[in-house]
Amino acid sequence: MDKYILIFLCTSLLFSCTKNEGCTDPVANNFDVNASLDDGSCDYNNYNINLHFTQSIESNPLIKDSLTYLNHSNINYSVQTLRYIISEIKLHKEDGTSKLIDSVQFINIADESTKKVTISDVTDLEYTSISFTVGLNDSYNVTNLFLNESFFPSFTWPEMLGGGYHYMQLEGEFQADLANGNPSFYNTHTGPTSGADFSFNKTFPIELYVINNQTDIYIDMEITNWYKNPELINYSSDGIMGNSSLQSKLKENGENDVFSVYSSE
Amino acid sequence: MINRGILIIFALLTFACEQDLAPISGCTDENATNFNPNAVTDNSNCIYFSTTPYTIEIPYGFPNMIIPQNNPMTVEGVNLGEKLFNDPILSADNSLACINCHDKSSSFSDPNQYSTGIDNIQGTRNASALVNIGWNSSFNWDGSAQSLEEQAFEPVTNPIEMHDKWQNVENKINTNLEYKDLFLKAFNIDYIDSNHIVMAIAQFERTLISSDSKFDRYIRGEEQLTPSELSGYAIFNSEKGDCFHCHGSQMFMDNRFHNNGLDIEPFTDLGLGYVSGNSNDNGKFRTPSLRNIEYTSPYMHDGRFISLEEVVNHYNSGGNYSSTVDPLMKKIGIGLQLTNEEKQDLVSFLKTLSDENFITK
Ligand code: HEC
Ligand code: HEC
Repeated sequence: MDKYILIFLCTSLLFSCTKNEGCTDPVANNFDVNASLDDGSCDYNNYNINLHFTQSIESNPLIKDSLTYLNHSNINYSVQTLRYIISEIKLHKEDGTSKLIDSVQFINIADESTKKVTISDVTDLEYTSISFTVGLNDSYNVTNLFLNESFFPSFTWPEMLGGGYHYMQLEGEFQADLANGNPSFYNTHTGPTSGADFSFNKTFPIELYVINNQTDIYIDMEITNWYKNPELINYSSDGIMGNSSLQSKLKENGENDVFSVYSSE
Repeated sequence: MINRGILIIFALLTFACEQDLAPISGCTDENATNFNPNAVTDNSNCIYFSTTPYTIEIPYGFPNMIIPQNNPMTVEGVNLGEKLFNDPILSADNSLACINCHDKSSSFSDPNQYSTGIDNIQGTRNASALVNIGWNSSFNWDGSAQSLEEQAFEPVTNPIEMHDKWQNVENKINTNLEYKDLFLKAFNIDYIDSNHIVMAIAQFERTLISSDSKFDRYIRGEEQLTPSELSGYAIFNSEKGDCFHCHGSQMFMDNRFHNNGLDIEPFTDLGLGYVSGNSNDNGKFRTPSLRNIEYTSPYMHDGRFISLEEVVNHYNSGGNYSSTVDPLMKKIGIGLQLTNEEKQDLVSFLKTLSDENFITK
């Protein structure tokens, strides 16, 4: 009896000593913790797409609260608040098919966690372009549709001004002569003025670089360009939420060259 | 060999013991409150702990209320919380209850600028109104508490408020037979601890919901606003008055902190800056809900304004510039430039947020 037990123990010991074959790559689907020898079976059909939302002024990363920037008319300005919504973010393939990767993304520069989102259910990377809506289009921009989102209630756009939600709140100080008096404040608030749809779509070609099953896409906002190209807009302490003509100018500038997309490399 | 002998003796012994005892009859269900682990036969007298769920009705235009998972709302808990809220037993000399500083007829706020504690000491802040606070994401003017449960620990021991010790409160409440029974029914506990006291109070506070003002009835299409109130509504909700960016939505608050231009530096009360330690937060306070604002005079964290007219005059002036003033106060140095009539309209509109049932029911 004892002899058999001994033999059994010995063989199992022997077995556990031989190298376990399996997938040894931690990022693979079928990563095997016990495997010490890779057998080429790793299954990589899930990719992580990291979407980064960045903000810059004259191509440099935005520095918040610093009254050192100069606009097109040599007025000093700062950015104190910048919150915005990018919606309907889609990836497209050559064959015309597309994948919705994020339906509503609220970005607040004061909250790091809103500046990056990881999409993990991506099974192939044959995407050649990305598209998104800046703001919320008519079908989304409905009063009380987003009561449980983090941008409620501060993004609420009053019913009597059109209802729904802001697209963007860009606020800060401006001052012509820093040595003279206190700065003034501008509130560049875009949204559905009078119920009209001032949201716009952007599409960019992309080339995805994959490292360890991760690929990064950066969606950058060049803040300065909201105020120029083609329409020059000056800072003012007047609200613009009821000003359709300024909303359409901002839309025109926004569509032109405010956004850009790049991937890592 | 000796080991085996001992084992056999043990087995025999236990067997003998069981034989000696007469079978105990009692409740044999582990889930019952009177489960008897020694009972062998069930006497069909099991008592089960059960509470009646309390359903919060979410008013139109409000988000879901976030209720801590370990403190679900029950009718028993809410009623107990209300009793505690009204009971001076929580204060050291049994003289002061929550309700004494959070007066119901003032929408659960203090009509005095500063509240007076049991030792006749006054603080430097006006007691906040408790209205729809179940939707707050932080509590106190400076956001120093993160939940209603956490907040309720503080007034009991605060030297300028009830100045008691929790151990002392627990002793008092545990010798009170009525509370013993109520806590057993609400939480199924024999010893009443401070955690369950604040849980009951928080449950009650979550029921302090106001959504039946004239304004709500107007939104529901049940009542008309006067021309003056409508004009005030338009000033409030457009950039003319620009109140909605901070006091927006049906909640009339934004769960954020702002410096609304009351003071110039140096600030006597740092507000959020005191809690966060970040000088960029100095002079910022939590936006209060404007519901029932007519009843909650005096106004602002330090109760500096007696009337709504004074509040409107403050905003109409544009406010004071300081390094942390909110960019939404965009008319600093210019002012809102409302006419006297428009100012009066704004006040009339604010008064449509009064919910009489809330303070009398
Ligand atoms: C001596 C007067 C006094 C008593 C008694 C008192 N409070 Fe208060 N309460 C205040 C004051 C003053 C504030 C504002 C404190 C601050 O912001 O610093 C306050 C704030 C609060 C808040 C925060 C509300 C908000 O909107 O952020 C809650 C909740 C509250 N009290 C509940 C209670 C409860 C529950 C009790 C009884 C256990 C109680 N209070 C007893 C004076 C009092
Ligand atoms: C920048 C954000 C902001 C704007 C804009 C704003 N408020 Fe306030 N409001 C606050 C904050 C924050 C407080 C509390 C300030 C304090 O106590 O220090 C407050 C306090 C009040 C209070 C006193 C509430 C109480 O319980 O004591 C009233 C009334 C009020 N605001 C009305 C208005 C009106 C009317 C307007 C528009 C003319 C307006 N507010 C615009 C942020 C704002």
